[in-house]
Amino acid sequence: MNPNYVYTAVIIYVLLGFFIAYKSRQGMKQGVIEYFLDNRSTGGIVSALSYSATTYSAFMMIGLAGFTYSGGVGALGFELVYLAGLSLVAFFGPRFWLVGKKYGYVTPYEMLGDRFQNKWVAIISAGSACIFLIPYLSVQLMGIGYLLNGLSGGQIPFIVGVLIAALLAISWAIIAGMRSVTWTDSLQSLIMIVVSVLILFYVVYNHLGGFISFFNELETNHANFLSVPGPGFFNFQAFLGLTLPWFFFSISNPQVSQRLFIPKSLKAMKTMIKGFLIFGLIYTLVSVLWGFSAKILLPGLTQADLATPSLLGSQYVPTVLGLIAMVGITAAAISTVDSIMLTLSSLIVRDLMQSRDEYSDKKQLRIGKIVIFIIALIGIIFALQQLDLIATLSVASSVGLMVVVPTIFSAFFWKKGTAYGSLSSIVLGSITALYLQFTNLKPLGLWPGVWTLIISVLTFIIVSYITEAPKEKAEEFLGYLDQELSDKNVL
Amino acid sequence: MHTGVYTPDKTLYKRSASMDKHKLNKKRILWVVWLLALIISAYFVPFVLLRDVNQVEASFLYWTLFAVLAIISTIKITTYWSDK
Repeated sequence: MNPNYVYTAVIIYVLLGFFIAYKSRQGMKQGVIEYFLDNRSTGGIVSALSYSATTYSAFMMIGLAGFTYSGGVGALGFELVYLAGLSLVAFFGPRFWLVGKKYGYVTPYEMLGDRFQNKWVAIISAGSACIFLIPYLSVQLMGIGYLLNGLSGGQIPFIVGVLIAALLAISWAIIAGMRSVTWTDSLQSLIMIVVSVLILFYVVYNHLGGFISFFNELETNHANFLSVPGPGFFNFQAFLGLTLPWFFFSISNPQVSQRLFIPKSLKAMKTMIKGFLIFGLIYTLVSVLWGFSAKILLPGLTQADLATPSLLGSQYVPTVLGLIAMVGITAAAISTVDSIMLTLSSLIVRDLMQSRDEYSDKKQLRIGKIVIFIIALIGIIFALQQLDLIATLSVASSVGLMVVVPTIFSAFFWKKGTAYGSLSSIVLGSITALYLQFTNLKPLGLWPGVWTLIISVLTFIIVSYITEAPKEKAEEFLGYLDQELSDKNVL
Repeated sequence: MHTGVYTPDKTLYKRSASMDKHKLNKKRILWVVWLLALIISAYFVPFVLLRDVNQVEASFLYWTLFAVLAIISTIKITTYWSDK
């Protein structure tokens, strides 16, 4: 593909993004809540689109399509179990939202630190999120580097792709904080869904004879890809090991759980959940069917992750559609990266530095913006090094972030939970996740995610029983929620 | 800081009468049990009942139906909410 086409497509997308980001700044006031949480006043549709764009990264059209290409229908089950995990938001969403407003929380870990009356709960949780999310962010940058490099036939150097992605993410995070992130996310989510649906329909109707013939072809020539364990990858242990951490994604990953603080009302949160679920179902089906299309059209690939780039660069996809798809995948990656940068910045300012007690809003914002640059720089350096360590940490991110789940459950549902229970479960859980991920050990055939959850839950319960809970805070926090939930009919 | 002043949202969405706590708790338990059963089925049905059934109407269809049911259930739970 001519690199000039690639550059033109990227430039149009960039200009549109900047236009929206600057528009979002109008009428915005200065303040920590305004910057990091859009003043808790985001409307339902923008919340839904932004939540979708943040959650779904380049993994969907590349990684999930690749999973389908190599492992078959199990990839669909894996991603839909994750989607079903959003049912957690129907219970946790209003709880986060209510206490966020009452106590002025900016980050989910600030909430945990206050609920358990121990600043170290916030510090350790935020530190662990940084360890896992910066490599994850870095892998997204690498993805764009590879994509632009591959589609331009090597004309656009890898480093240029990485830098373009990082600069866009920094800009859209800094221009108006959460507001520019949610507005540009909305644009990007629309690009992602329209492009992926369009290109799938083009390939299925032009090269596979429509959906009936497509499914017939799958049943005839790739029948074992339609069941589990199928070709072998998705055996039960693998499926459980992959799905368990992702099931809790909506409450364990701070870049999405922080979004539970931003809707302007419960009605807006309802729209956010509904919109995201519909988006998620469509995007998942499209990504999986895309992987199956690649299986039929290009059956001989040696590396499953190349299924999407290979199909986009093949004779089956016209240049213009390939370009549009490239922009769609780039949008998916950048909308995830800028949200992670903004969330990590808030975690560092509010939780790691505990600066909320010492610094003015203005100073916190200044530090927050500098932190975004530093995070981006680390992300770029990691991306350029292309280290195995970074890839492993990125893969471990969903497992590593899960260690905070027992603490979150206890914050809302178990008065006896203690700060020491939380700290020990986060530390031991993280060690378990890192150790098993790096050694590739699977004791009793169980994957790291399963062991991490078992260890962190047990540690939390045992240590909580032998240490003292913050009774007064728990009574006050849960008493307030109990009354509000009952008034608002929240289950 | 934690000095955020709580200002109740005045936007009235749907004036559903609030349920008493007992009724709310009963509904909560029923929905949790239903969702747990549904999620377990996403493991049990494809891996046990539909194991090696190589058709689109098998695991592919089941997981899609499972997701649709999970989505409808989640949306249904949110319809109880009232913004008063």
